[in-house]
Amino acid sequence: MMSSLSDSNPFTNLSASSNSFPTNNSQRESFDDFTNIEQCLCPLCNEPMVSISQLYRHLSDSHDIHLDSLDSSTDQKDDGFIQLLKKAQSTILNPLSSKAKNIAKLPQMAINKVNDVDSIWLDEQSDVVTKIHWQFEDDNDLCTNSTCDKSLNLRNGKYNCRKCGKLFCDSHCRLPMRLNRQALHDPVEGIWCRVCDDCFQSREGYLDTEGVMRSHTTTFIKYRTKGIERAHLEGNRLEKRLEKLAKVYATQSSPENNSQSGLKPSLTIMHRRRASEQSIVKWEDDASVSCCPLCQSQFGKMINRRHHCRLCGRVVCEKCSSFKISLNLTNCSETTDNDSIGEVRACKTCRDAVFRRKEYNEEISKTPPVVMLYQKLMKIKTAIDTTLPKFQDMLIMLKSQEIVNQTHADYQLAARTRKELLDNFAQFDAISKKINSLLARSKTEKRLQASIHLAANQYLQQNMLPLQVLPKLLKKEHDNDYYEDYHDSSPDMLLSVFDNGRTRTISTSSTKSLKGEETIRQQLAVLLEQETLVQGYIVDATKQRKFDDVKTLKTALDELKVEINKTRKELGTTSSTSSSSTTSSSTSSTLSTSSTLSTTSTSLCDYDFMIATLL
Amino acid sequence: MDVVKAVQNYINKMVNEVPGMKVLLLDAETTPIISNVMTQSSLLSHETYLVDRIDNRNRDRMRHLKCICFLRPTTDSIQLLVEELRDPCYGDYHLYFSNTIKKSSIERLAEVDEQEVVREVQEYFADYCAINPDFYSLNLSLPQHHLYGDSKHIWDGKALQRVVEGVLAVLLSLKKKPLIRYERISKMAEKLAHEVLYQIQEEGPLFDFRRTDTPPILLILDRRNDPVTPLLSQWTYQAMVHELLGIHNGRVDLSDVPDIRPELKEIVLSRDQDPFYKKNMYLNIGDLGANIKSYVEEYQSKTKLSMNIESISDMKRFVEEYPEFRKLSGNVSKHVALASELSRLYEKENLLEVSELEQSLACYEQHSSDLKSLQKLIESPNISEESKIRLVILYSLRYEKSQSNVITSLIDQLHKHGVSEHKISLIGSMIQYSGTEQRQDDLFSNESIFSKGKSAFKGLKGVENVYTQHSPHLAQTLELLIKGKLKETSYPFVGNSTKDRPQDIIVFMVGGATYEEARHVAQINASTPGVRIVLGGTTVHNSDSFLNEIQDAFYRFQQSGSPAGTRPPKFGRSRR
Repeated sequence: MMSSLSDSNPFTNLSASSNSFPTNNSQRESFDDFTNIEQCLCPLCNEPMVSISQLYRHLSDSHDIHLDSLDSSTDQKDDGFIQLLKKAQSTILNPLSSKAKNIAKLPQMAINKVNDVDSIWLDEQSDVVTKIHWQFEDDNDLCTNSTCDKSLNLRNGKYNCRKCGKLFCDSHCRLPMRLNRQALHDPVEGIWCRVCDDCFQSREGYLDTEGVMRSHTTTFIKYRTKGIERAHLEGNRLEKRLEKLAKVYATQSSPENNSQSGLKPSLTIMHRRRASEQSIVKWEDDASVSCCPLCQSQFGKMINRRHHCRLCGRVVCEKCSSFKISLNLTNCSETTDNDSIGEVRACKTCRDAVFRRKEYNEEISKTPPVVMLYQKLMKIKTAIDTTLPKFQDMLIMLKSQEIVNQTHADYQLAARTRKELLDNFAQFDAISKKINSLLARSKTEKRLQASIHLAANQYLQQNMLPLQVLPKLLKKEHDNDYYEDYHDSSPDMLLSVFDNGRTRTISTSSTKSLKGEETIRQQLAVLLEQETLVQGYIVDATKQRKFDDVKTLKTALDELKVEINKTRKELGTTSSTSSSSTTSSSTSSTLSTSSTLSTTSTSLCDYDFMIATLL
Repeated sequence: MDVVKAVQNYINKMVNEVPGMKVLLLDAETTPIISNVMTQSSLLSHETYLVDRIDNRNRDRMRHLKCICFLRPTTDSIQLLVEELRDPCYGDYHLYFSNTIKKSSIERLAEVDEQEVVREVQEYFADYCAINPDFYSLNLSLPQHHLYGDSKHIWDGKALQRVVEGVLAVLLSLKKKPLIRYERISKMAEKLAHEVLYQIQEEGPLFDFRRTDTPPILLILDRRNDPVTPLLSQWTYQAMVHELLGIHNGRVDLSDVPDIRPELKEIVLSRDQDPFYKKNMYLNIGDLGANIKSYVEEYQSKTKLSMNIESISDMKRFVEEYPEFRKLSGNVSKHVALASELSRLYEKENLLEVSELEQSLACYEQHSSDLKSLQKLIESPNISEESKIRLVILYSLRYEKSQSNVITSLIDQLHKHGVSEHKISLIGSMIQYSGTEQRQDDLFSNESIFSKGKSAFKGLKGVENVYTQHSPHLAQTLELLIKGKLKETSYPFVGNSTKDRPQDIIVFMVGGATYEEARHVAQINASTPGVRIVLGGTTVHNSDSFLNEIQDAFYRFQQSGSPAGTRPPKFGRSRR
């Protein structure tokens, strides 16, 4: 698809006919460029003008002739062009009056160089607003605006911002703002003055992006406390009853139950118990209720029998009172006896009133494993967030002072911090993986865990990958040390050029000191890390059907493999292979986290779709 | 005055203020508000791990999560929230409402919160969809919302309520207490203007902002004053994508595109996430083609660079840059797919030919030559019925009052070529909706001798691009307003008035705005320092959705007497 586009641009037929959009402004500007008039005079009052555009503005402000209406304002019935002619005609017919008016204005204009924001505003401001703070004019002033380097002269204009007093060119000091006598912003009483962009924008609230917010929390809480008190009272009353019931059960059942264990309580006991139950709460009369107050089902003699809730005394059906509240004395007193001493029938409403709060509190106090792990995760994150900026400061410091000596205290401190950070990152990654692999009870839980994992990856991608680049600074210096020590560039050459590496490796083998072996091992570790990384990418790219990438990656992988074999062989000649494999495996295991990390992070950017797709 | 930032600011505040694992609970109307300005990853980075809908009844209990509810305070949402609080799924609740909530609703919610799970109740006025920094929409589109009540001049009660709330939310989120102007001839604009003024006065303390040099202006316009803009074929990127494919809440559905890759079935167009889109959204397709080409070349050079990995350090660099590289390659294929689909569509429908005539009809008074080419296009089998209808509508709108118009014979010609009756009836509906009698400004500059002369003069100037000559009426209105020359007789104030030139302008278009107008507003904002304009409307129209709305409205006006009758099929192009 891409190649077809680059071969023949399907839009050529359009692009030929389309350049920029015709705007009135651009045309006028280009006209200026062509004519390039240094000076011209206003045809009506003979006032000198710097440019055509200034003349346009002058015409519009001083003589009220609007050339813009030539190509805009359709609703004006009298056409702009004709209007212009008429105006010109009238001014020519009465040249004296208009001239006289302008001559009166002239001296002031000379001082202020014709304010084209609006001449009326200008007349007022020149008298009222203070000029004490104005920047002193010079022959080679430059515009104060940082994006503009025009020299200030007659052509570019030269204006003091009425607020800050600094000098600007015409285009950077033409915004209107109300100022008072002291040249301070005064939106109510102030007079319109021309100011620079910065003063205009630094008005309070001008660049505010924070919208209005209104809190109703206090009203809400006020309403809630009212209701809650009632609910509390009700709950407490029911709990009291429950307590009493438990006592009744305890006193009545314990002696007899022991003697006839396993048998049903006798009728007399049932009767006695019922009587005491009714003494706690008055039972509703059976006959007065024809259907269940909760589910509206009709009661019958045999099928849908009436039951009494032992807590509120209402008559309810079997279904709505199927919740047996188990009684135990711990509910009410501090006895150690934890066994249930019986069950009572209660209706749905009472049960909810008694237990909802309790259950809620219980659920809150239980912390599922996700939460524990998550807290750990956040702890590590805050640790990273505090050390990372410190480490970056250190690096900048090291770089600026050009400390290359490994033994330098600062260098070692930086190295230690880096190690600490890497450990934290590894731990962070491990915990996030653990969260992801937790057994989820539901789909939502799974989604939660996956999201946490995703967010953690995102965080690592943002913070750890830059860290992987930075240590190069340290490493480079590290390598430099080796250069100096051995006067042999071979280990580094190995790194950089491996297509003709064979010749180099020969030279490496010639310098096999103990330290050289160490560096080779380090190279191997790096190579192995790269290998796993690239393998991950290949899998990823094939999944995404990006075969171009796969090809590139595969060649890279092949080359890597060749190099790894070479290095391994080399090591094999110097020391036992077992030791090398252990070192490499240990390093690669710590680094494998980073490799899997970056593969997941690559898929992350594809994940960046809008939430709505999730829903 | 940046609506995107204003909404983002609200949402960031919501998710930032509560630490810990969070779930975000939304309703049907707040979901698009959020999805227009936030990405999944930015929510994740604020520990918001789950996003769910409050009307989803099968949510699991997760008491260890904190819940942020962002809801429109509609009766439905309040009812759902009452049920939620009665049996809460999550630990803490932080309630944010996108508009003013009634005292009685607060009372009801407080009553059911026996568990005392609610920690906070706030009103955050992010009650509109922010599309561009200077463009917003209230998303009042068919089939859920009808704009018109019993006649074309009367609001539907619910829609008016929603629009008033939406406009107030825009004002509050931007902290503006404006003076209100409206289009005199439009009854709907007038009603809205009065309603907004009343609400601002009612909510006195909310609108207590610091004084500005010159009061901001809320300009309420009506689509019927410029029915032409939404009917034209578009050639700038954002507008064109919406015209041909449709942008819905920042997403474009490409699943109908032949041979599309699965990951491109639905793509996201986001200014924040996609710098290429941000740079090119207002460019016309010609310039866009060139830019895409160089974008592809940039990508190719990067691939080449990664092709010749010669050393391990090269590779290391490649590996480190790879995620970035992947992102780029995804973006390149997205825009290439989009642009090639656009070019396929306009070639298939011969839109270049159609557009040339459209522009001519919209801009110039050339009856005989335009009529000739119009008749030719109606005969042509390669032009879609929708395009034919649009052309005849444009012709009728321009030459409605002309003595020599041949609208009836054109309609006969359409009949002859098998265009269905309900489509043809749209021509009459459009004239009724927004014919000369309904418009207050001289849209085509052909109503008086003077303006006719002017349009002839305009024709002489010559144009650079035939397909983008038309500039929407809104651009002229705004230019006049900025200069302080917009006539008070045509655009009166409600309440206080001012003669000052405005610096901050909020425009609301009753009946929907278009992306073409949004582009012009962006241009004015960029070229006029000191002036900030924000445009919005009941919805964002393309020609199909615009004509659909008119068709639906007139269908319902006719049906109000006799309930029976078959609803006309949806107007719009078929994609394949």
